[in-house]
Amino acid sequence: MSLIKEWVFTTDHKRVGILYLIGSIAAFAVAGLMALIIRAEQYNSGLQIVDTQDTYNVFLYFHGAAMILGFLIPGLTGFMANFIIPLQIGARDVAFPRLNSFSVWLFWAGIILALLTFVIPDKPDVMWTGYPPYSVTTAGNTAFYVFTVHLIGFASILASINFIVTIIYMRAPGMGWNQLPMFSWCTFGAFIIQLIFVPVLAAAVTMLLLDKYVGTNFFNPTNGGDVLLYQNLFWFYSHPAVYVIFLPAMGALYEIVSTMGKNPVFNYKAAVYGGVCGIVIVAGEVWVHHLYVAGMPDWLRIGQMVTTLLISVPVGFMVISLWGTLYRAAITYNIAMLYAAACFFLVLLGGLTGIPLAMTVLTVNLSETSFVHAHFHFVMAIFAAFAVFGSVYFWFPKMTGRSADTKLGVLAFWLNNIGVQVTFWPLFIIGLQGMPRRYADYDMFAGLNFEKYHHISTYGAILTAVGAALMIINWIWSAAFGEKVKNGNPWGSNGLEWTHAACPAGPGNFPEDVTVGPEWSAYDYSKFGK
Amino acid sequence: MKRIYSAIWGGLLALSAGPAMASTAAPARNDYSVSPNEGWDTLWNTVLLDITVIGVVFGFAALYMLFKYKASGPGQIGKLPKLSRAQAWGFALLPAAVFMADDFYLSAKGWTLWNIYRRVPENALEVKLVARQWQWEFDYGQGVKTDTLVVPQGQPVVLRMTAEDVIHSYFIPHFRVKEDVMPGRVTYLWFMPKDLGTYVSVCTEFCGTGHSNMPADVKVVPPGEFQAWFASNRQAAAPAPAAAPAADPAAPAAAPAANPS
Repeated sequence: MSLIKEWVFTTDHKRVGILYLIGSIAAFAVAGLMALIIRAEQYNSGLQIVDTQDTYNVFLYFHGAAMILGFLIPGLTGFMANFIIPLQIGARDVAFPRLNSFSVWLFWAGIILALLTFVIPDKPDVMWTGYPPYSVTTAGNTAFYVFTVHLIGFASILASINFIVTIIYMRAPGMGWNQLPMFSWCTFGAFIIQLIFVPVLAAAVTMLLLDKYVGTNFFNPTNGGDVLLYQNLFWFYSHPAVYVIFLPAMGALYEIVSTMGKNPVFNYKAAVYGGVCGIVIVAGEVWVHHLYVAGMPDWLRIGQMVTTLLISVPVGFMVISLWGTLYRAAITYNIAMLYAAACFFLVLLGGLTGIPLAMTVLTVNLSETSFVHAHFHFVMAIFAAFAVFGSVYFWFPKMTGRSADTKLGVLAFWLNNIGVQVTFWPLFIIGLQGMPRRYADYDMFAGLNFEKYHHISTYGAILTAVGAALMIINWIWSAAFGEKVKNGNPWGSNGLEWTHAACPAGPGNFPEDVTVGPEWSAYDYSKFGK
Repeated sequence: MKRIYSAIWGGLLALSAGPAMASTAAPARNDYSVSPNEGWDTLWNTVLLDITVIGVVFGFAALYMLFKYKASGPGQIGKLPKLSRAQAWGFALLPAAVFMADDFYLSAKGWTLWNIYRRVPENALEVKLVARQWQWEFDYGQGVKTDTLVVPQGQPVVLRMTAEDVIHSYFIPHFRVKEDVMPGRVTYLWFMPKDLGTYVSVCTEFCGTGHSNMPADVKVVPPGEFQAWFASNRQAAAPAPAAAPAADPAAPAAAPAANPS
């Protein structure tokens, strides 16, 4: 009974955060299993594992939708934002705790609705993008897709309002904007993007619902609608969603790298005012690069090629700042730092392969091939997932009062890190030769011998699956039986969550109200070791 | 509203126009010495070099620092020098300028080739393509409809494409071309079949059960063989229209035939 009262009705941001973590890891596990089945199916051309092509399509749909809407966005802006931001800015809770509790249960309802996909007869098979007219004419139950987006989207909008207000009004007295820790800054940017763009997605999928079940014709060209309207609305949100994922992930990396390297964040103001603010400004002007081969006007495709390439400028500010933070550092490696180190290379690999894809004319050949598939898995999926994993390890003592098992954690890290490289490098290669995405059967390319690349890729997926399973087992085991941390500040950070709150942090976060002076910085390590 | 958008994009285009003018390879309007797929390979190699250089520089920098700056003992802290105001601006503006220069350089290159991709040569053979779940139908006019794209060697081919049911996307990997095929809209792509042979084309926009089972062969045949093929198919198509085959079948003979075999 008390368990229900303490967890179900909780308004404590830390518990809400952990509820987000549990939900998003559940989505990650199921969607990961789907990925494994998809990879096993692609091992050879033709259908061997699943019974029909339609089942395969349902797995593709679920993998994409659950990973993005159920794992990445809630993992970063649900779990991490909830758990870290109030502690980091010295607040006792978020601005609207009950709204926060409502958000997390909306999210859970979305997760449960998504999981029900597997028991209803006409399973949705519209991919995570849900393009009409297919999503309107299919026998699959598009309503499940629409309502899942509604529930999780509404949770996102409420969380955005909550955290924007929290960061503006509830910072510890004395904490200026130029002292705001990087994770809070980055996530603040992500929430502004969400607040502006999520409603557009909600509108787009609602129109889809009306078209399919009420008989409107927004996307039906025979009655004056337009099929491209949906794609424009969808990507108007869903490209900025990439930054909703990218920004908090970068923010967490700054925290981990700075703390474990005992170095202040390099050129903080450039990273904040050039990087974070720059991305917020550019995020909404590049969505057409998802429609490069969708028959958009030629001048628009060229215009958005320029804006898309210019994203490298704000991202460059953040990259220079992150790299600079390593300069003359004093790095101590723990599992969190290993994940952060891997992220340096993932962001390079994923980011740089985005440059040819930013160029309209190169995308004509590359779009919808395995090259794109590998690109966005590196930059969005794996980079962000590694940032979440690293963050779980980094804040694990703060969440549980215990430390995660190092040996198992390191083993799982290497399996994950090697596994993803082995999985996605072959896809770059065959993508360049024309291997399309979302295929089960690729007999038509028999002369090109794609099967051996798919073999390697599938072995990589198995490595990653073992690594991810070990990692989750480690978290569960360590949360219950791990070694208790004796020191409230095991990593030697100067962040408020480490210097002023216990491990685990109790109700109300801080024993006493927190104030900071004008010279305070979360990245000031001068007291460390003294 | 449209005017405002045009102004914004116009401004951005103007920004990259300078480099575009400066880059030498910009062809005159009807110079098709570069076919799209050859241009694609050249541009890809340029971009691959560009991103490899950036990746190697940053990758080795990270690798070096991650190994070099390990703490040698407990209690050690990093020695990142404090930046002066000028250094802070420098470390912001200099990389930004370098990245922006690279962006405009690539934009100009991409724009140049884009013009080749979108300007259809005047002597192109026009074929209509209708997509439906899950097949392609190539319509040459005069009743000739096939499920295989047969084209004469050495003559550019333009496909005018639409779909009957859902969105498909027509992709010929060998010719580096792809464009979505949608109901309610007509899109196009063109390519230059230089070498004889049979190439595969596939659907790349998710379209349901048979999405990965709608390949079509693209056969590049000598112009004479193409005309014979066309004539026999036209006779097979009943009832044959009275009009004489106008521009289309006549064109192959007149087209410059680059014949390597």
